Amino acid sequence: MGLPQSFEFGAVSAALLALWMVGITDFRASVTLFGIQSFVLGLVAIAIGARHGEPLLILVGVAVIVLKGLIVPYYLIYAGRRIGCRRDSLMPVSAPTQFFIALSLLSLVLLLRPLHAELPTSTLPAVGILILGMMLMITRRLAVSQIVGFLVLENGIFLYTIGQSHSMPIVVEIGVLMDVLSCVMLAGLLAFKINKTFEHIDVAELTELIG
Amino acid sequence: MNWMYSLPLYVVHILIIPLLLIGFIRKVKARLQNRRGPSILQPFWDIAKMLSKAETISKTASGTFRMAPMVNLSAVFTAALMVPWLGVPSPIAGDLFLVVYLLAAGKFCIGLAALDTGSAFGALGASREAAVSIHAEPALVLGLAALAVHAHSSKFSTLLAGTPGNELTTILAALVVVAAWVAVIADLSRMPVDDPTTHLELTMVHEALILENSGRNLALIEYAVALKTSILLGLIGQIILMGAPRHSIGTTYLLTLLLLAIATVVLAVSETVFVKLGWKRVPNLQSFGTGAAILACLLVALKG
Amino acid sequence: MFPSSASITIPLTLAAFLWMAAPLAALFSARDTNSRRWSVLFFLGALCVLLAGIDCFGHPPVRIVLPAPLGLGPCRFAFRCDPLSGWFLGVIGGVSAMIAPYLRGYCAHIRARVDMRLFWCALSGLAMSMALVVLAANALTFLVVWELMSLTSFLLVATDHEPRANRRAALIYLAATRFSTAFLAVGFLWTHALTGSWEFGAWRLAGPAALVPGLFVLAGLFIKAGVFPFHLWLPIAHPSAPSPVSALMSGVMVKVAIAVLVRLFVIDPAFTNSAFGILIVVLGAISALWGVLFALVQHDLKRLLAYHTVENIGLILMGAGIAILAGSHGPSLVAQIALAAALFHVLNHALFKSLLFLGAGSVDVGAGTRDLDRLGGLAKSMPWTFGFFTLGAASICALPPFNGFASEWLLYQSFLGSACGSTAPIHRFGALLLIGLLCLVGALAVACFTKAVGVVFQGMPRSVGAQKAHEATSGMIVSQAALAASCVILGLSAPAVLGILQVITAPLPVAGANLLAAWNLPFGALVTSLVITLLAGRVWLRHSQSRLPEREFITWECGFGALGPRAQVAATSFVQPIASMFCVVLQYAQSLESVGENARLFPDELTAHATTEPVLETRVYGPAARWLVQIGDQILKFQAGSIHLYLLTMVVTLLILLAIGGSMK
Repeated sequence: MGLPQSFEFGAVSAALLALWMVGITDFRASVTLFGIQSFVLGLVAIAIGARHGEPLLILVGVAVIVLKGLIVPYYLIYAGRRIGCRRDSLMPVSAPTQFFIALSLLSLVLLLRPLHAELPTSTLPAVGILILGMMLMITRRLAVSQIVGFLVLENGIFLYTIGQSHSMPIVVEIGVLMDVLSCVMLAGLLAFKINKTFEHIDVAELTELIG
Repeated sequence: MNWMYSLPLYVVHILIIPLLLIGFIRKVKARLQNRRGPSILQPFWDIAKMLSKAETISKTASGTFRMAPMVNLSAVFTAALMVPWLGVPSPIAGDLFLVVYLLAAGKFCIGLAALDTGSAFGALGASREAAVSIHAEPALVLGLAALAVHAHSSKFSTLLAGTPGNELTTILAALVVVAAWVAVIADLSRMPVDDPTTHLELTMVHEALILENSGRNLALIEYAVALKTSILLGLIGQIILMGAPRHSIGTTYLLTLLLLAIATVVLAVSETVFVKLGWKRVPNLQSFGTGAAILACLLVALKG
Repeated sequence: MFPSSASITIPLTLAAFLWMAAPLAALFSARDTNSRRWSVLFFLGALCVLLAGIDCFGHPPVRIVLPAPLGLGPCRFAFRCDPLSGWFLGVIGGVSAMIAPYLRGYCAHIRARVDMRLFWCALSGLAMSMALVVLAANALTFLVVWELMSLTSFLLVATDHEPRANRRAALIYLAATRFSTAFLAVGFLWTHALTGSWEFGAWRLAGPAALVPGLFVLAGLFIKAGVFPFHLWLPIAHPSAPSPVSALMSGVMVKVAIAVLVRLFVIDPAFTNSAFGILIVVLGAISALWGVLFALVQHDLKRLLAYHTVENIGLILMGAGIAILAGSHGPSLVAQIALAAALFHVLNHALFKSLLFLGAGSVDVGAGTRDLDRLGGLAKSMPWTFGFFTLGAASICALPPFNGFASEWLLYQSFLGSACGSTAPIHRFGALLLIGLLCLVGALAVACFTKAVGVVFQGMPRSVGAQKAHEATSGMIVSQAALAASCVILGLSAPAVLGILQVITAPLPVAGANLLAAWNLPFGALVTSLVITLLAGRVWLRHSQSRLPEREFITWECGFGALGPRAQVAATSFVQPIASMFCVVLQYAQSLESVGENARLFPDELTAHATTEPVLETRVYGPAARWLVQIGDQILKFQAGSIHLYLLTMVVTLLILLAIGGSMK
């Protein structure tokens, strides 16, 4: 079960990119970082596929690079420009505090290693990205930022699966990718609709939906 | 290297390099902005001019205002003799915490002098400078402390020696360079934290601090800032060289000078390209520096 | 058991006589008694204690037991003189001796409205009981002198009891001491039940058995030392006391609790459990950060200094905790360095905190107020106080080459050593984070003292009192000069101090290495370089001043015309950027109201409001106190005045006791 040299490097850089995203308030910058992260993860998938001679995995890697590295970021930036949101400055705690909370969560995961020693080391960056994606979703108030958080979460799951068993039915992974794409499209459309109806996409103010 | 040789070497470089560095930054910035710019030696003539002018001192000021720039320069000068910022072993074997606290002592004196004149702008500058150092000092100290734990000592000579060719050292050095760069930019009040050429008092951090100074004392303060810039950029250069294989002292010295030149070009480019951050968003930038330092500590804690 | 040495007992008995004769005589003297007599007696008593402390180092530990008629039932009054108690005796005696000249000048100021007899009585009682607490060798002696210490310090806090705030502060302080004694008593009783002895030296509990009694004792000591979350009484009580008393309490009394902590938990520990080490380090770290954050937003000078005491106690505890943790895994140099750092910081803090409080007292006497927003420009009218206060501020900010830096450097080295020495990643990361925390606390302290010195002494006077300020009397200046000189001397002669500390920390298991070798700072070169550059600069400035004399003009005012004192920085505005960074902890909120016809562009009136909320007081202790009062009200219903109800209660209690007694057969 050999993972190539570049796996550790790629996985850790993807985790660091997710960490960087937590500290940023600018929407366009976080989407660009997400694009770079997907690009890196796609390269990692291609490397693993090349090492083990799995053409499906290489195909999935290319798909990730094209879909999540180029198309989705472009669509999100376009949606953001249409809605007119630039900076998510309405967060409950300030960006530096969120950054430090994220950093402490990651440190706890790494330092409390003996507690979860049954998890292989190669999955730790994926777990980190999962946690960071969830944090992004919880702490952002603009709907589009929450979409980005969900996408980061999905990236984490993707990294986990390719790191674990590269001989797992890759059809499942393709299916998940399609799900993600349609989710993003729907979410973007919803965001347009919410904006048109309420004149803003501040999720905290959407309490009027309570029955 | 014996201190008898390194002391004159350091003193000569302390007299020449800081102002040359500032002149170089201004020249590169000017070129990037399509101007001819002042000559590289202009800061020398500026300092000479300021030294030859009489001071105008506020009636409210007391002895602190008159003495603080000299105390600050003395602290920074002593720190310059303790940090091996030229790539050559320093005359005094400096300790990491001693140097950081010496620089803080200089900042304390200048802060008091700024409050001495009863000027609202001086107080604004002093309070902002204090707020900036809340992030900058721990970032720098944590980064260097990670190197210290890696090297099992807090003396600069052992800290910066490292184990060449070790992959861990390279990654550690990279993280510490990021942390130190952000901390140094903030501490020296350069872009994007503060614009050194601004004329709007409400946007100033360092310039507001020294607004009331003139003549001789202003020359001393400007020179101290230039010296601090050289020390900190030289230190960052040494950390970069940590990841590289060991050379002889002469080659390290030349490489350090080269890295200093590259650092000034990078500074000039960032000053031209980046917009000054609004004051409320400066902690956002600084938290990345502190975060990088904490990551370096995490790396050292996990991998030794 | 141990040979009794004459060279300690004679100065000690003399000191006891001088310090205990004084109170009795003071009670019988006239109401406006002559302070010079009492302050000279106090000074001599302090010198005797200092000599006794120095003498403790000369020979093996000595045990003094008072003769038969004086006893406490099961055990006698017993005192033990060993290097650790010698160190603290030195601190108590030295600081008291240096405060003594200050007393006369200060007492002349408060004599008009205060009965000085009780003051002198309580002051001497406090100093003597502090010395005895450090020497106490068994639990009952300890509790007796501890209570004496609490009572005398309560009387001192209540010296000026006319203002309601001072009365409230004294009662809060008394309540805190009650809790502290209660916890200590429970802890000691529990330990006695487990070990069967009252002697501190005979207690050797380890592991889970040590946990509960150790926690009770620790809680009692934490309350007295002012550690988070029990520090609430400190910023309330210390400002209300007269300044020399605040200096004594802040500088010395909280250290006495630390002395007992070191004796019971670090050196020849009575309670050995690594959980204590972790608890002490964590609470110390939180106290340090909490104390300095709240100090930043104070605008009463003495409250600011009191919060800094909380911070420094946190630093001392961090050192002690690291000493426990590092020593628990066997012989370790790190433990020795950590304990040396903690003890050195005890001495340094006693010196510079007393200096700062005495300076604050001079400001109070000279300018008539302690409020930072009413002071200013005192550097010209009170130059000596300004100079010494700035020196004290530089020491507390740990700026080289003063003494604060020496102990903080040792603390850094102990953290570094702890990180290098352990292999568990979480310990290494924790030690590195402590280094970062110490640096953060240092940066915050520098900010706080820039504000304190700048707002009080620099700029223009903000009130009439500050305009008419006068310098303190010569006695008060002599005290401050002595303390400042000792700060400088200790900073420069740190290796000598380390030699003394080596003797004290000897009982700790050590890997054979030398403590002095750990001090590898190039202090000689540092001081030479600083002195040469300063002298050269001074000479050159003098010369160029004669060539080009300076010109005097007003401060730059942007063309608005000369700005008045109101346009200067205020205490709250200086820390606004930092306070908003930490707004979660401080509950910092700002509001700006503008009033007028065109309120946005040309307002008639602008009101800026900045508030901080002491979270612990309003959200934890406040509700808890109210809840206690409610319960008390419910219980009050039993005091209905009805005899029938009282008889019924007595009968029920009797029946319950009979039932219990019957079941115990």
